[in-house]
Amino acid sequence: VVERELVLPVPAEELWQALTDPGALGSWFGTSVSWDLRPGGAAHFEGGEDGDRDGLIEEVEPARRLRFRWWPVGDDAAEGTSQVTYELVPLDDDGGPGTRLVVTERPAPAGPPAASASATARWTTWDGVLWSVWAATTGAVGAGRR
Amino acid sequence: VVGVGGHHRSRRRRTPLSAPPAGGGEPATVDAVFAALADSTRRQLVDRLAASGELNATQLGAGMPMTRQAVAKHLAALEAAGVVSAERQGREVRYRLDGEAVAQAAAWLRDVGTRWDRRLAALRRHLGDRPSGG
Repeated sequence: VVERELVLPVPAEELWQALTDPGALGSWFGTSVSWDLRPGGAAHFEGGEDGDRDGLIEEVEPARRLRFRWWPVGDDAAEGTSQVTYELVPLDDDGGPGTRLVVTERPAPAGPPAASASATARWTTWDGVLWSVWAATTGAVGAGRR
Repeated sequence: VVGVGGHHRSRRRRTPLSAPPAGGGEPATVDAVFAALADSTRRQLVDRLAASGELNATQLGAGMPMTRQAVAKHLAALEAAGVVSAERQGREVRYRLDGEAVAQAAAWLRDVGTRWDRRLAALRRHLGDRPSGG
């Protein structure tokens, strides 16, 4: 699982707009985004280093939480997608409005959402295990570690 | 700013476990690797293989408080995920780590992480450039 957490100096509503409004996304997301922002809504991502992708909105809770799946255009969605979640937590800080943003992306197993929910519940951060196994099997101990 | 039109769907089948496309990212396989390694017993088996190179099921399960059947089941799960490969040698089956699926999972973590680092730095700039509060 890839997880990133950061605090941004804006209210949750403003951050939400930056995360969801196609016009705002155009200035930072790296690909153009068009989506129907409701559970079950379709999404399309075009251009950028990731290549074109299709997607599906899974959960929308304005100013709090957004979850979607995406996959390269042309791939069968059932064969393997990854799931992105944004979680926004408003910070009550004397220093002014701020919002904590937690972004996670995880490979999503094929299959119905119910099955994937139980599968993803077993996840933790695997970087350490993977790197050690990878190093052991390639003999590249220490190499490539970030 | 955005448009949906004009993308073409071409069905590209991928081989699930063996011979993954180099650097292509294979989320289904990556997920299988992570799920297989989510179990502490299986991680222990992987550790033993990492240390010894190649072992049979009896050697792998030595000293573990579980039946041979349980060990076999864990090994089957690791093999299904592509983490280990099994090879019959005479009367015994020997297991070894299969680096490819694991390397792919590690590459996925690295690539996806790098992209988010880049995006989130751009998001921070984007929000910083805007007059806030309105």
